[in-house]
Amino acid sequence: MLIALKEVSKTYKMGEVSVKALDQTSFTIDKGECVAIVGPSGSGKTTLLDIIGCLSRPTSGDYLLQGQAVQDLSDAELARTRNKKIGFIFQTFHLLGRNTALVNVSLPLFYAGHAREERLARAETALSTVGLADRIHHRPNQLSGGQQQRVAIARALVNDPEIILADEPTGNLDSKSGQEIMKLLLELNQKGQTLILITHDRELAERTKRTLMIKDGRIVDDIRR
Amino acid sequence: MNMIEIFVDAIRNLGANKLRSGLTMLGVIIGVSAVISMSSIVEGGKQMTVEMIEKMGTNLLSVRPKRMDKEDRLKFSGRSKGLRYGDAELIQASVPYVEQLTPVINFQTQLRYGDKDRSGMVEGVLESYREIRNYDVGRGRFLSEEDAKTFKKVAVLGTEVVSDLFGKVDPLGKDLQIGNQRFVVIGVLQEKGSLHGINYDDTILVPATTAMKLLTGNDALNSFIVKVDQRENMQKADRMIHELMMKRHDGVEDFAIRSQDELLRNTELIIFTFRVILGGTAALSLLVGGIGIMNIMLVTVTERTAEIGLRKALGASRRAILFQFLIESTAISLLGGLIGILFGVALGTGFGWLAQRAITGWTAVILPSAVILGFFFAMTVGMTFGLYPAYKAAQLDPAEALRYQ
Repeated sequence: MLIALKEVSKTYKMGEVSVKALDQTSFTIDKGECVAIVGPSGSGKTTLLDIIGCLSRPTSGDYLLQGQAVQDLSDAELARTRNKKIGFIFQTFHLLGRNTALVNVSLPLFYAGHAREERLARAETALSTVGLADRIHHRPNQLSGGQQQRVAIARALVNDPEIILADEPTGNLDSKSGQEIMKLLLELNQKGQTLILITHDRELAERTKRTLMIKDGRIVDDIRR
Repeated sequence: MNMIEIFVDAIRNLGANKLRSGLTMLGVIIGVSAVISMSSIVEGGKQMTVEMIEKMGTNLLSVRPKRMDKEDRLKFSGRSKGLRYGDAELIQASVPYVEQLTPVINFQTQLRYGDKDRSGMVEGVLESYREIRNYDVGRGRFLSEEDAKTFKKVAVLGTEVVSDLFGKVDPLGKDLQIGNQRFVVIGVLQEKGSLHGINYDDTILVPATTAMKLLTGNDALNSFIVKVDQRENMQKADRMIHELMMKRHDGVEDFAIRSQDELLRNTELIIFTFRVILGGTAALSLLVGGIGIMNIMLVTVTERTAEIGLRKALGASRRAILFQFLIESTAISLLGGLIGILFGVALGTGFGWLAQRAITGWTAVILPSAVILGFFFAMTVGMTFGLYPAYKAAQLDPAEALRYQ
């Protein structure tokens, strides 16, 4: 079991009002799985991504990542966990506009403390994996949307994480680029990379082997194909 | 984590928006360049003043007759004897701190050599005058004790008097008519120049005793000058002289003791005041510069909230984010400091160059300590005023920051 959520709840305080974003969610995900988490906006899927990705702690319940209870970790340890175990892919890419693709991809390695030569070498390898070996010195504004997302994927892969967390990865792409990206992600999963895909698009979800349906902060369905 | 890499990246970030970076740095640039240029002006002024005072001799007390106010004149009418040769002799004998003493008797008269003549102020002094006034003899010799004892009619001249009366002719051994007396020139002083309106080369020195006997006909002094052995004894000497003089003058204070030390101390006080003003101005402008940096850094942090969220998502710890932004603000102020140093040195040197043309004796001084201080302050300002924005950046919640619009 790679991921185990037990009765996880997350409550946000917005001034006087408390909003329960997640309500006693429980599920497990094994290594190598390809899971889509689907729900309408406001369903809590973003909060779920934050919990799984160690970006925030549950208000109650347990989140076990590789057996380690995440809620007990300090902020610094959480950061280290994110660095080593999670690879993020975002809808808006979130690349640093002033730096080249190579530098962008090397960023997780920088925070992991590696030396410059090693960082750049590994970043170059990762960029080759996603087919951008000839664009490593391009800046984001010199790349197409699809290429930028591929840079983001390379960045997510560079530190050899346990999980790839993709939040609406094709949301900002045209259908052709979107297809290319999905193809790439599914290929990576086939090679053994655990992939969790957050989306509101059911069609996209149908291409994965397992779909968790979330509504009003609860898992309402767990479809395996 | 490599500081240098972050630093280089920070500089690159600054280059991305040159106008904003430049304006942010302005406060620091102005503060540092002000410190350097103004301190060089103050230093130049101080050096010139101290040089001037020291050129007149060091550790000196001068005793002169004082014009009494109406009240005292009525009280002590008829009892004021004025400054006499005996006063000088008494002081020399009684005050242990006296290293050298010379009376000064001034006598304005006509000087004549051959067909050249001019008027001049003759000073009757003793051989100690040379050391007291830091004169050097260029040719011949200075007045001696023997000259004074034997009332010799010998004179030592300054270079301007020599050129006025003798032209290119060597004056040594020649006869010089002083008033209705014939003197022999035995020495020429080395050129000293003028300072603050006093021409040290326009000098005619004769033995004090000769002056009293043959020129003035009395033992009244214009002043006498005491060189005190050590700076620390100046005040003690001053007091002793005052006491002895009061006794000798029957309690009539018709004399005044002026200390050159006092002059120096007044100068130091003025310089100190200038330095305080200078320091205050610099501190103020650095404060303003620092607030400017803090302001811009806060804006920068807000603008880059999503970036900070991303970095945290990728594994940046709070400390890493703190360091990054702290280094960025330090980079701004360091760069501003460097530019400020360049400007400050240019301004200070430029002004010194101008001042040298306007005021004789001015030296352009750039204080290395001011440069170092300016640089150090620039760095401190960046680190101090950048701390709060960096802290705010570090404290951002990663999940929220990522989604910030």
